[in-house]
Amino acid sequence: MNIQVLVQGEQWLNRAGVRIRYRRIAPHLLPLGSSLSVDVIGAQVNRDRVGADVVILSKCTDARGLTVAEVLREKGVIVGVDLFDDYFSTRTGPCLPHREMLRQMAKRVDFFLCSTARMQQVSRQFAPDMPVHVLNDPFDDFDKDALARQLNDKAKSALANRKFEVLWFGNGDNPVFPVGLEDLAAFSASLRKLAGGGFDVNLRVLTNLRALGVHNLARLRNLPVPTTIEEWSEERERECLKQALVSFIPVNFQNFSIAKSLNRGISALTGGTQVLSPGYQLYDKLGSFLYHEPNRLLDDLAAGTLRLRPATLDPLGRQMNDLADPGTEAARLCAFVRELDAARAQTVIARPKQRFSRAVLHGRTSVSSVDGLCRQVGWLSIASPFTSSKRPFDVNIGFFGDRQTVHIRFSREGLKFVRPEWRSSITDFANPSSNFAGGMDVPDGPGATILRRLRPAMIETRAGRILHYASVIQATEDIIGRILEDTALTLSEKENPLMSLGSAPFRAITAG
Amino acid sequence: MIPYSPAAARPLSGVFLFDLIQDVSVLRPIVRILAAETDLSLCLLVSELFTRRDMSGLWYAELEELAEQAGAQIARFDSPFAAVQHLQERRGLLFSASETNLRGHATNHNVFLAAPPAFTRITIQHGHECVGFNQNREQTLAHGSAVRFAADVICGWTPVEEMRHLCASERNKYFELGPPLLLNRLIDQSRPVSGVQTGLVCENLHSVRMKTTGDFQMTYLETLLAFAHAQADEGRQVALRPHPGGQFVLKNKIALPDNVVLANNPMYKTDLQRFAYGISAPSSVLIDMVLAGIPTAVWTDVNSVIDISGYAGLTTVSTLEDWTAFADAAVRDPEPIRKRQAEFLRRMALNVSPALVRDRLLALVRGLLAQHRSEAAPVPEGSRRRVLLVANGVIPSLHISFLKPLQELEQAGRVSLRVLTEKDIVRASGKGKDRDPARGTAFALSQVEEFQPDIAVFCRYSGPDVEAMVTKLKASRVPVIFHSDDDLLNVPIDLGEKKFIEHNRVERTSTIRFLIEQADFVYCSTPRLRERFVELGFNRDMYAGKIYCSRDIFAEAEMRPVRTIGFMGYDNRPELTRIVPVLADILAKYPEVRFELFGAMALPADLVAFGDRAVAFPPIADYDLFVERFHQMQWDIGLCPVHPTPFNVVKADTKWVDYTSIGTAVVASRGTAYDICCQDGCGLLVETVEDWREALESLIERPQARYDMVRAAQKKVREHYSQSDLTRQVLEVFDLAQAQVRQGQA
Repeated sequence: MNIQVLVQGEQWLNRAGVRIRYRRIAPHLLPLGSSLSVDVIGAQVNRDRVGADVVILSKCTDARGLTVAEVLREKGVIVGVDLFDDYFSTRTGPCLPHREMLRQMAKRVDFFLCSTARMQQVSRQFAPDMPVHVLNDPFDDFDKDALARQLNDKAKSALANRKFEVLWFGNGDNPVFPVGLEDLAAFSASLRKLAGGGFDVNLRVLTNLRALGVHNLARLRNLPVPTTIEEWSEERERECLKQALVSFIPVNFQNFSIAKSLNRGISALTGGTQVLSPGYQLYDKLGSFLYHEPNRLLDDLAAGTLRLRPATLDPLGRQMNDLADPGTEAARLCAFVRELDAARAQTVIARPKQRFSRAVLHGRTSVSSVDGLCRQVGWLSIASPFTSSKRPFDVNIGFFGDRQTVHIRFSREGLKFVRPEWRSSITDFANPSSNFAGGMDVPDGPGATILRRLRPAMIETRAGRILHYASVIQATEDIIGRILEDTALTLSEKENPLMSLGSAPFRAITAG
Repeated sequence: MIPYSPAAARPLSGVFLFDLIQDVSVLRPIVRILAAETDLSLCLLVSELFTRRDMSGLWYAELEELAEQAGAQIARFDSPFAAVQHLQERRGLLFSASETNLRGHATNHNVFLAAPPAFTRITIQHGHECVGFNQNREQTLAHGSAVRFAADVICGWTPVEEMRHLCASERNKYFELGPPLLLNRLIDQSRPVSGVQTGLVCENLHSVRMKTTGDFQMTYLETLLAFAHAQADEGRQVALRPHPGGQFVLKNKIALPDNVVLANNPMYKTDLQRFAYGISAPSSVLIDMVLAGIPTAVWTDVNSVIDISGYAGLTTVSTLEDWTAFADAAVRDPEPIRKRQAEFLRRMALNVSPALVRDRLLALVRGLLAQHRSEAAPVPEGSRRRVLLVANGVIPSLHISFLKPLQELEQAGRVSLRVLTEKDIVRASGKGKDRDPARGTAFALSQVEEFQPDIAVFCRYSGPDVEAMVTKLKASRVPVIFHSDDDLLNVPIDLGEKKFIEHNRVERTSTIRFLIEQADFVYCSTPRLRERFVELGFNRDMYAGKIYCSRDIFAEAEMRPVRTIGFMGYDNRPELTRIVPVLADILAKYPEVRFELFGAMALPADLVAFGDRAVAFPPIADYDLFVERFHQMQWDIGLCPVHPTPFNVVKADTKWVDYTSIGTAVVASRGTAYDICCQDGCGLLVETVEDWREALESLIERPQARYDMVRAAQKKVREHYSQSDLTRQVLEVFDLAQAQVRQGQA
């Protein structure tokens, strides 16, 4: 089985999630006759071009993901979505877009891939009967001899010089949840205790630049130990783990945090540091190698019995194999998708009865890459009366110039999709340089009254948009259904909470 | 790789933030003075916005010149983090002349908020009327009157009472520095006055005050141009100085008459005394001109709407006629105007000498650096924390509470200990007829002087010269800790007559009282001792240790029959007497059992009859030898008989820890310090004589129970009475005492 993971942009190819979750198991799939590649979501709209039997969508959280999932499934590809951060179980406003996206995605995929058992529980709330596979974050191999030397040297040096370094590494912020550096500050009492044992303790913070705004820097200023701050990179993480005696990984008690995988803890141990993790006991599975209490760590340091030491590297290796051996994880994933494939072979998949075009209907806030993908693969890109962007859409149902009423305009490409019976209603535009080749008024029909009564002022404010969104989008879809050839429509909306009001599920809109 | 360098190893620095163009004029003289008078490593930290604002490059060139003159480094930053990256390699003082929580000062405000704690942050008032310090009406209308600073120290021009807009929460940060521009006179030599009749007109047309309460820009500009034309008719030139940051006439390409020459050099490079007079709308440049001694007039609109109260006492001009009349008067007879200006300076408290401003600046900087040294680097790399231990002698309490817990740190070179005893002081006083207490005092003080301690601990000290020592230590801001493990104000006669008399001498109890009241920090051995001191009326914070005595396990629990019952004690009249009959009965009943006594007590007469089955080992004065000998004891049962007297109930559970460490099961009196440690099967608690008998018999007859008890007790010692736990506790006491002293200073 060939597996392809799709991410939403170039910059995601080097994120920790991709590096840890996919690249570490890829080589272990080859001996099993399978392969795994990671690519940016784009033109993978038919089986030949995607070149994979299974596609996993990884954080593709816009209309591209929804549409590509639909198309690939129609082509016979098994499609799944990977869930490794819990933006879903918290029922607050900022999580609504994530919850809505997962609700939409659940209707379009064959399976969920989850990073932890907790994420599996969360996913059940959205699709109780969906096949789910838990893919543990696999660990990176470690060189036992080198690690033993390192551990020995670090403990000796700490005792001889009465000083050691503590490392905090990872994403320092999150757009939705107070985590990262906020956790570091919140649990800094542990650092105070660590420094109270007669050692010079220096904290090194490795994190993303975005997190190093003034508020977080002010938090770091108040930490109880001297702190050095650096921008994170994979290479620096590796070097600093070699240097530090202890990795400090506090975990708070939010849903988002308790669903995290063990990867930071595993990286810290296999990188050669003790792990001090106050707060929620996320890393309990690493039990015998973990410290919750700074004083115990100091006692063990003094007694030469640190939990991670040369003598405990064999048990560490065994524990890693039990928890997250990349070979084992690869084999389990392979078995899971084969089982899905076999089950699917026995199921008759409903294909659309007639040929239809695909289109994306843009709401108030869409992303330009959705429009870009439409052009790349020949889907129609349609603007609704809410759309603020002035891109040259194929069909634009909205307000133009000073006009206070909704009008419909077509690009040359868009005109090709107009049903023959409506072509005579279209006025040709003389100006060849215009984005639009022709236009028409809103035709009679079910949605006509709503659109004809709509005025720009009614949807200028957020409150107005919330009030009119559902009816106007519905009316717009009705009009599209009447004047265009059979079209399967996907709504692209990023403005919160509009995405939950339009809820255009997959549907083929046919004439009448 | 950014190497971690301990605070003390980083260069002590003065770092100056430059974000607005006018920051250069305010900070430049401070940079120059610190370059000349201190050994600080200087750094000019320039924001990206500064270089964007300085379109001509003139001011960056000024910074380069300043850097060269001051031997300073120039660094740039484009975000708070970029600034932090420069700062985290240094420690010291961080200066800004434009730091408030207003949007226009956000760059430096954010750097202040983010700056590493190894820096003290100092904001300098940048103008005569200045947001957050003394605001004019237009500033208040535009920015409100609740301006705040992120700085630790705020330096203003005049006494704090004059600061009408300094928020109450900022007042205790205030330091009266004086106008920094005066420092320029100590740096730049004035050129001789040339006697020309050119006047200087300044514009700050960009300023919020020229547009908030009315459109004064056009009025001022029109009057200025008309005045220039009028002066041209007189054959005179007018020098025009645009505000360095605003540059309104240049940016708006205002056409100027031919007799107008631009004076766009930095103010500190402009010899104001070369001008016959100066005119400006309300702005700090008026203060520059007044301080330079040239006749100066402040412009106001004809309706007197613009707020010029900050310049009350100076000549005011509005119309062209006013301007011309003032220029004529200034050229004709400047003295009456100068006289009024001198009075203005006196009333505004601006008549300070440049030398005074310099001295205040240096006093502030040196004071902050001294404080900074002690805060940022309490234990400098490569040096030790020097701890002076003062005690009546090298007593067990000193060993248990300080010498032993700090031993490892001392060997690692992290702590340096010096013990000063009452015996040393008395010896220095001399003997017999030669005895002179003053010599003892001098000796004690010389020990303090010579050792230069970072911390002083008076451990149960009740000897002489305590006041002199504490006074000297406090003067040097050395934290003074008093440690006690007994209620030394109420020593009972049960301890023996000699001890009773000695401890209760009034000079000794006075010393104890003095230390409890005057020490910076009181460290009690147990929570109950702390409660006792509170009951005695000492109304202050006191710290109670979680553990008093720590021990490693020297002999593991062993499953064996009971052969030896032991008692270790120093007191002359221990509670042992009460249970001697029980011991005699036990020895009679169990012929294989022995009794051993280790300490300052003779073998009770009732036990002598048992010959070599009842032995007393004499006490050993040297603590280390005593411990060594104690570890050799192979006792199966250890006795802790204690009367629950007020004196005894505040004592610690030391004996239980000692017995447990050598694999001995403990039988102890109930209602004492042993109640807690003996819980969970870690010892037997008894009350009556009969209880003692039953307890001893049960342990002799049930070796498994004795073995289990010792194992449980040893587990407890390992988990809660470890050497490292006690070391941490002592270091915590030191840290808290130092923090207490710093807080007191603040």
